[in-house]
Amino acid sequence: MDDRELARRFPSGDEQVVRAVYERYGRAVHTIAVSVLHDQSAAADVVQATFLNAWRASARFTPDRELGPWLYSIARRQAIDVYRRTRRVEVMDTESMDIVELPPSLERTWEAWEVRVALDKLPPDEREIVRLGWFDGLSHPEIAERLGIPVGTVKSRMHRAHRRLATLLAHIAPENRSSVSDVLGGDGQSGTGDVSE
Amino acid sequence: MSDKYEDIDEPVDDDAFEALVAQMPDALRDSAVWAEPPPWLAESIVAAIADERAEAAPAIVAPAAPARTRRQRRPRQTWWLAAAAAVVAIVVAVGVIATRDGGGGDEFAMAGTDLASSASATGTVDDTDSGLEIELDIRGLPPAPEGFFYEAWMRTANDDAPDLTAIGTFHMRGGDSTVTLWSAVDVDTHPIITVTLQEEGAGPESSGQVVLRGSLVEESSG
Repeated sequence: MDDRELARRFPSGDEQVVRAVYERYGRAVHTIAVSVLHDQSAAADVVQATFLNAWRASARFTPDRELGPWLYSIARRQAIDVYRRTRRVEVMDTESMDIVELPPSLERTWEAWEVRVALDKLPPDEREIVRLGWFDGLSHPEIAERLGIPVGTVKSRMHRAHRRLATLLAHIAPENRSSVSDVLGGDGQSGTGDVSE
Repeated sequence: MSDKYEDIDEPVDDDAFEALVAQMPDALRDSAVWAEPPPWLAESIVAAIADERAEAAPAIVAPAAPARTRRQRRPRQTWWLAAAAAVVAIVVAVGVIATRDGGGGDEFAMAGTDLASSASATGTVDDTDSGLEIELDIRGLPPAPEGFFYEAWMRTANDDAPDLTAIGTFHMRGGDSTVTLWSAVDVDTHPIITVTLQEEGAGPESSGQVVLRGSLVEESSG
């Protein structure tokens, strides 16, 4: 089922369709929530609220928009709402009114979203290699030892993963990048224009 | 390799990827990017949506809809026109047409739309020194769901870009009842009366979710 079909059927609330939308974008929504909140428990609440709000507003989602950026906009707004409420309480508690910590920028969360969506499109074995190499910082021999596979296999999987990622993420390279607000529509918040928490 | 994962045919090499990564050094090392949601979350979301569908299903399709601008309501125009046509047909059929009786106020009737087909209302309009006093005797309209309320509007007759004036809110949680509304706009300019289902905190605009609709002036039979 492609995105357009998913978006068309999402308003029905059909269990299979909801699962499919979650399967495709749930992890990326979670990434946005964790990026903003740095709290796994709060992030799970944000993911749930994002999908519920998206479903509530989905009848008015127009097919000429893309499902992913729309969900991203809802997720970011939801996470920032929680962030602001949490920060307000913390500031009141500590009276550290002069310390202002801003949530990550629109560009940074959008980049995190795009990278997560791209990683989720990798086959699991390639995604694992990329995680071990880039996130855990392991060398090829260390990855080979960890996974119990030859170093040559690690190199070839990493190479394939790099090729896929380079293609999947080419549009966010600075020279190819549309402004985030172009992708999301207007001012970067308009994707949530018909969603109100 | 599974068909689920597309083959990349373009000649993209590690250098291209390294260049890309060099320009976004943090993303692949960002713990948020690699964080996994808890395994129960999918089930929780499916269940939450199913619960809300079940709650909304019986009488009113509660949209949990945030405010929308009037222009954004345009896609529902066909639905509105159909509802309006149905209301006109009902009004003509039962012969309940607004009459200017000059005594206890002008009488009018409202019919439930597809969102609340069992609902109906009769009412009177009194032109007082303070404005129009509108009494609505509402029957068959379910209590507004938790987090929602009803709002009455007077509006111009043009469906393309109607001008709406809010004339009061209520919730019907006490069952069938009479509500009193006040308006400072005139029935000659705003002859249509509607009731919408609104979400609390969703802003002052009409949700567009009309549950009752009627005319405050005598309908022309053509």
